[in-house]
Amino acid sequence: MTISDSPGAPARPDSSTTSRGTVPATLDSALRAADRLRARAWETVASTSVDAMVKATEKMPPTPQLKLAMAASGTLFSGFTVVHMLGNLQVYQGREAFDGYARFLRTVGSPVLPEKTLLWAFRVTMLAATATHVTCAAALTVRAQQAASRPRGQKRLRPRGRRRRPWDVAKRSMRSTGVVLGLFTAHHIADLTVGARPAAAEHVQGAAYDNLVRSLRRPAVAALYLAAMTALAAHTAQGLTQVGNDTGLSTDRAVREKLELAGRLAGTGVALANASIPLAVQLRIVR
Amino acid sequence: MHNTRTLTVEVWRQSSAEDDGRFVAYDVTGVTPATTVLELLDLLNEQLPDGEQPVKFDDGCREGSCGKCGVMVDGVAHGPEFNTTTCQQHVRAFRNGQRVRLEPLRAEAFPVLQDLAVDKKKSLRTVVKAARGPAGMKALTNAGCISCGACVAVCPNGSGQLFVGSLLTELPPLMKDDDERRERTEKVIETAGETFGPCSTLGDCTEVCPAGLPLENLSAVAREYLRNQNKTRHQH
Repeated sequence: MTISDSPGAPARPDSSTTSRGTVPATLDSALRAADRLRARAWETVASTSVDAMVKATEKMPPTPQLKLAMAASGTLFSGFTVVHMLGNLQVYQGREAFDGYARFLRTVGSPVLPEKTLLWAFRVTMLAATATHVTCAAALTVRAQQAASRPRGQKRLRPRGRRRRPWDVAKRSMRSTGVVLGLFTAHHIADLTVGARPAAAEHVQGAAYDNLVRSLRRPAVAALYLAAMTALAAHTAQGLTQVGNDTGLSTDRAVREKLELAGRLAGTGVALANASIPLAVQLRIVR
Repeated sequence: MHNTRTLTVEVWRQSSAEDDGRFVAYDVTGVTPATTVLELLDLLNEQLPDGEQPVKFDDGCREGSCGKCGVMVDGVAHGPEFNTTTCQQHVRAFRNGQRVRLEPLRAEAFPVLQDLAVDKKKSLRTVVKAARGPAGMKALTNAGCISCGACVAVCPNGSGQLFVGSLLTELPPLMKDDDERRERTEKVIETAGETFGPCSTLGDCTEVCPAGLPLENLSAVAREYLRNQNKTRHQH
């Protein structure tokens, strides 16, 4: 009746016969010993670092507070993407309008305040929000993995009988889309704000329009931009749903459904509008 | 009996809470479309080779109303059918010769006792007890929750927010005054934070919940939490 015994972790193939072909017995046993040592070292590293991480998150504020901090910083980011998109779209009004808008951003507040004061205040705010968002996400991830821990070597099965539509996949991809957005933003700042090579193409301070066109002329950068916009749509859609859940607004079904719809509309809207720019540059509509 | 089939059932065998477990595959014959997951386990235990200990699993009313049973069927708490307890899940979705993987409800809060049997009562009860007195049980009953724990097990975060949120949705009307509401909801949220993982609003819980509890219940946790914070601020 018993067909097979499948132990928790798949057994290592016998190294002398399969994975390494025929090798001398001494070398083989040395390799096996090295394998065992490496496995034990990894286990030690993994378990100690997990313990350390769990300890570190225990000192963090309770989960509802972390969630609120993520909701606040996330809402700030979502609002920013909308404003940023509106600024971006001025590229279609031509070089003069776009460069004028860029100048306005640097000089807004002057002459009452020194030039760039508001710009820097805004940058510091965004940096603080980013630090908050990332720290809370990391702590919540550790807590989640701790609470959903499984026996060693036992992976979660792909659930049977559950079809996942693209939005459902997006829901489950907050961490990966978040990482994509973070890396893209770093590249984006190095490229178009700082003008640092190799992220940037030929960069002239103040010539925002030309910098943008030269940058997005590069197919790889245009592709990265499009990928980042896909991640943005996914992240925003689920982000707004979660804002509703984590602030208590979604106890009302109608509110929950509206927020979900708003997230999808805002996410795809901003992403599509932004994505039109690299496409327009590639198609030489914007040149 | 042209309808009977043979399934290869991979079952989690673990002799005690302290031991490491592993999957063992058995062929189970005489399965009909109407066989439920628990009946499949009954068949398996009847057909076990001599000398092997029967597979232990949580069993209850077999009517889908007591919340005692529960296993993971191919990675889904209770089984592939939506909003149905393990005892009411039929194996008609599985064709002759298919493999089915049965494992205990998986969550840090639900330690495995033996084979497929887990201790889910302890963690769920700590949260209800935090609401103190029978009010917690009453609230769960009013919500329709049968405390089966499937929401926690199916959640990739090990979150019990559907359970906790449903409790907090129904608890306020049972409280005699506002102070009592604040005191008890605060305790519930604190205990839940120590017991379960954070909620990511994925909604897997609402797919498996036998009571069909809605996603809106999740948000009651944040609502009560913020409400309690406001009061604290006013007092200072």
